[in-house]
Amino acid sequence: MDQQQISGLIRRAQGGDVASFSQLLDLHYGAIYRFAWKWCGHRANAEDIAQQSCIKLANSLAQFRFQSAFTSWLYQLVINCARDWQRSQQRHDHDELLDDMPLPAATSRTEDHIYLAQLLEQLNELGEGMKETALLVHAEGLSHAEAGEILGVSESTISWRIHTIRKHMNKREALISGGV
Amino acid sequence: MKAQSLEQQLRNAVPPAPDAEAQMRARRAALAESARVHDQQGAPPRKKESRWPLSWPLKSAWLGGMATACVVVVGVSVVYLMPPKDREIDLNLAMTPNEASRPEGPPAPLQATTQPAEAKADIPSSIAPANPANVVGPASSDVLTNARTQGEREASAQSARTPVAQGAATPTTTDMPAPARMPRSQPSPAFKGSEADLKDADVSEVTVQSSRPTPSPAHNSPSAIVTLESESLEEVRAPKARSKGGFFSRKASVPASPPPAAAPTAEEGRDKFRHFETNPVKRVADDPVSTFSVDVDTAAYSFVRRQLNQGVMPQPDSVRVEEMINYFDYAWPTSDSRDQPFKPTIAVSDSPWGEGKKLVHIGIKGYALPASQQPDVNLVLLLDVSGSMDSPDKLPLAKRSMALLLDSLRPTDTVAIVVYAGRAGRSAKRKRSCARWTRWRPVARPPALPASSSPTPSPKRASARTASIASCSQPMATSMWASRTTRS
Repeated sequence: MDQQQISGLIRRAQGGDVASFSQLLDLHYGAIYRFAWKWCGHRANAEDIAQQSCIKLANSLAQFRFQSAFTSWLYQLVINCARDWQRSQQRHDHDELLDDMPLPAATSRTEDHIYLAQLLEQLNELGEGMKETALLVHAEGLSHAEAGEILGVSESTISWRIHTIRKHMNKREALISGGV
Repeated sequence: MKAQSLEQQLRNAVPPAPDAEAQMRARRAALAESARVHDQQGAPPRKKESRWPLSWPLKSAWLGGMATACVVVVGVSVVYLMPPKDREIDLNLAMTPNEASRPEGPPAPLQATTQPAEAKADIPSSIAPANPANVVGPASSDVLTNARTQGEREASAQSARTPVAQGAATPTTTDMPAPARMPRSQPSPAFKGSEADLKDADVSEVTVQSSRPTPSPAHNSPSAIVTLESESLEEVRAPKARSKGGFFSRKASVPASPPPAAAPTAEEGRDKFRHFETNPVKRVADDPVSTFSVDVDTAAYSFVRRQLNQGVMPQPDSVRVEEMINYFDYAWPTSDSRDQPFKPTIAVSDSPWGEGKKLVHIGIKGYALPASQQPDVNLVLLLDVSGSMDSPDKLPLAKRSMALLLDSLRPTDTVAIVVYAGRAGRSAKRKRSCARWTRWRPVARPPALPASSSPTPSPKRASARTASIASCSQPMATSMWASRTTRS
């Protein structure tokens, strides 16, 4: 499905066509879910965020003005939903990650998930916007300019953030290997 | 975690496939929302002005009038409800709790020493090698790991296995005053009469009987100077406490009895802790070499326990996971002779995180000198009794700790106490006027130890005798998890 068709789909969905909206959802649910999963590293939470994003998409699709790429707009929307979700969770999120570890049936992916969880935790500590930046640039492969557009900051800010993250990781690496 | 691998890690983490059911749920919810939105759009737009038919100037005047009326009504009612007489009474009431909360007399921290000390918890030895055939030798090249996060893992494992240990940790906390924050009023008897106070301490301490000869691996350094100061005290005491039957062997017995009125949050906040990162799980391919520390501290446990007992939240950096775990005795076998400085205890189990991978748990415990071979201890305690030590977590704590120390001393041990209290302008005379030596021995000779069986070598000879093993004679309890890919 090319860009043209997607635009048509969006326009029809904006007009209230249920079938088009449904098709649009099916097309993008996977991407929404995957991004949400990388955001939180947790399956059930990712499903929550994805569902909230879908509802928000229904709510605000009419506000999409075709001024930017639909995917960029969608990233923005999912990031907002994820932030809202995180805020609502902050009161009771202790060992969700640990609880979620599939202890009995480990898969070859489980270790990767542990590493991701560790990484996300560090990125969270770095401050607002760092995790989003790292995910958009490194995981989604967007350019600094695209990431800047999505996050509403300048391209140089994105570059600075990427640099800061790298510096922090290096420092932490040195700290850990030297500290034991 | 290397910076280069940041991108790799983010890319490598492939999310599990979206759950079809979750997708359907999200779709239904979104479609319902969409329908709602479009229904609203289809409906005639609401007239927002309809609720306020008045024109804006009129409306604002009306609102302003209402607001003024409200303020006037509130003001009048407040004045009416609080006649001056009542207000005075209120003030008096407000004064009294402050005075009432002042403690009647100075706190008596030494009473704590009379509390029955809780026996140390013995953790059942359950970390024996599960399957020795599977044991992976330390030579295997991709043994990896780190002591800290393993610590965490081990914590969960340990807590499942050793309810006794948990029990030992909790009793003191149950003595905690129910309200975490007690009235802030400070007892603080001025500590200027520190000499007299110390005399008190001496008397009560000397009369405490040394209950039994404690086999004490820490005894092997025949003379030690221990500086007892506020913060360092816990550190001095706690590392020893790790060893079973160690010098300060009553681990769970720090009395839970600083008077509840002592909750000096501000004081505690001044303790400084170095920040340590918790070690992450590492990839063997990236980090094949693993190190772990043989010297295991347990001071964090004691510190955290004390703070909790006082109703104070410990600072995050003071809570060190590996020390929380290593505080407890693993009951690992020790080596039989000093020729073998330590004995490893190894267990292998399936990794819960990776298919076909194994977790290797390696614990080592150092050779412990038998009680009969331990030389006498000659302790010199240097005690700061200056005014700055006047807070419940300083000198009173030091005194309680010294009372605990008594329990683990043998009749042949000697202890000397040097006190000092510096005052500005008298530093030249300090040596003569402020230093005071008190030399004493525990009064009672415990029945369990026949006098003949404890030869008392002179400190000098003992030192020569034990010097060769001093570095490894303290039981070492440390642990290591390793992960290894089986290639069978």
